[in-house]
Amino acid sequence: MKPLLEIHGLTKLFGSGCGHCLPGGVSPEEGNRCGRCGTVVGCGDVSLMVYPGEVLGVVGESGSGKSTLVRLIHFELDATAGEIYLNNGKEDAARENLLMQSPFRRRQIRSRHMGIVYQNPWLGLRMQVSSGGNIAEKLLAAGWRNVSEIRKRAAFLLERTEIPVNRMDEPPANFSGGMQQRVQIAKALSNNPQVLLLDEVTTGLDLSVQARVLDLIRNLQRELAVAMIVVSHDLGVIRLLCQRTIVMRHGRVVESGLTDQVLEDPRHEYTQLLVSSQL
Amino acid sequence: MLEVRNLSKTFVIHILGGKSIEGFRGVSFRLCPGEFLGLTGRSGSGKSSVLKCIYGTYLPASGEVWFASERLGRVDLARAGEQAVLRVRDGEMGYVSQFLRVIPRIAAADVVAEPLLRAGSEAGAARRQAAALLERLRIPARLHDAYPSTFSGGEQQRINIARAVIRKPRLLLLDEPTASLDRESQETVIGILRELKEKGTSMIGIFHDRAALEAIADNVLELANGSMEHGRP
Repeated sequence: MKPLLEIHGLTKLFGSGCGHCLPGGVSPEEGNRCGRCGTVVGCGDVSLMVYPGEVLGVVGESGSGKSTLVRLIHFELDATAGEIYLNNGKEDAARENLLMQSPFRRRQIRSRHMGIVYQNPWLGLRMQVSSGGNIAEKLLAAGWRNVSEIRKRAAFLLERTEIPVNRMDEPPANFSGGMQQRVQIAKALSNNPQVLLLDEVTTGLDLSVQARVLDLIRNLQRELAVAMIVVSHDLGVIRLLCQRTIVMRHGRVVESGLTDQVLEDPRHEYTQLLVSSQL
Repeated sequence: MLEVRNLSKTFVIHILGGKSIEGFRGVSFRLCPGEFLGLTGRSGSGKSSVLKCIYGTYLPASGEVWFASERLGRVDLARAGEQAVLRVRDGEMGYVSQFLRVIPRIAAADVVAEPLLRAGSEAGAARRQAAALLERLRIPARLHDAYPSTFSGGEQQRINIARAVIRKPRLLLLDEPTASLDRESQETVIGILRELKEKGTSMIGIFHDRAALEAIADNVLELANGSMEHGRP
């Protein structure tokens, strides 16, 4: 089986770098910040694969580079180095490093083949635009043009994410946190993405709402067989959603494996600490 | 079906300054289709660790785990790579742990039906099949829509078993599957396992209860001080 998403040596440095820390940032032993020039390693030499229909977890404490990784994949940040390939399933498709494509082409790929859900719904939604309008915006970017079809698709998605369709014309600002998260999920899925990126989507929701959002994500994942990258510092969320997991620290991947293996037989010192710190 | 060769497991605990703790060592056995192997030994002798090494939850320190997969052919699960292990787990190899871990607020019948849905079954049919299995395991219909987290230990254990056997795996690993069950439920579970066994499912089981073990095991492997001895039940 061919991987759907392939990432090699993805690196993001915040800062200009110096003779001490270039090319890839300070060594992992020194942490993530160069003592001489202050350059911070957001993401250092990260490689990973996501297979079709698979859910990959990314864990690590705050500041470990999880969100930076997601934002690099979503082209919100410019990578310092590395390669990203998205295989569209066609055998003959030219293999192109997406990081080398023009900004226009990258936006196009993002609009057509990716979806993202942020921890903070303000990042993913326009709060004063209707929920249907939020979804329409994404569909327009993905190349949809027929207004009645767009409206139909928006209604369908809101229904699937358990938002009453009669509230479709209301702005998300009127909604509760859990509902806003579900509108974000509807929007992210509207273009039938190949990869869905979920960045701490249940963090900050109260427990009953969290359970419902997790259940929704799992059902949608099974029905649509969409590949996902799930970022969370909550090991329980990772255990429930992900088949495989990578552990990040100081911007680097320190361990990867089957989720149950990473959580029950962690090898890296940091993962052992993380797992044994769980309540 | 399964051939385990010289399997060993050690844990390196960094919090204890990189101290090495032995789980078990030098475990070898063969398992034929439809055979039930009982694992015995005192607690701490490494029984659960052997099952986890076969399932891939633990990474063995050394040794081989050859599984005759229908989809992948003969494969050494100790070295096969994550994708291969995931494919074997998806329908061919099941694991029943001592504890039930599920998403909160999902109905019992849906928890049990989920493996069927993942395999592509139609929702209604999957739920009916799940309900029938639960019924057989003495979980009454009025509980099928309730959340397993509210169930008793014995009921949760049966949900766990139902979920693992519903797709009739070819290899089933059982870690104290009847520990918290009353006599009647225990007999029902043994009955279901026997049926699977007759249809060719191979099993490795840890049973606390000697009678339960004798009721189903063809062979017994005793772990003592982390290594093994063969025997009959």
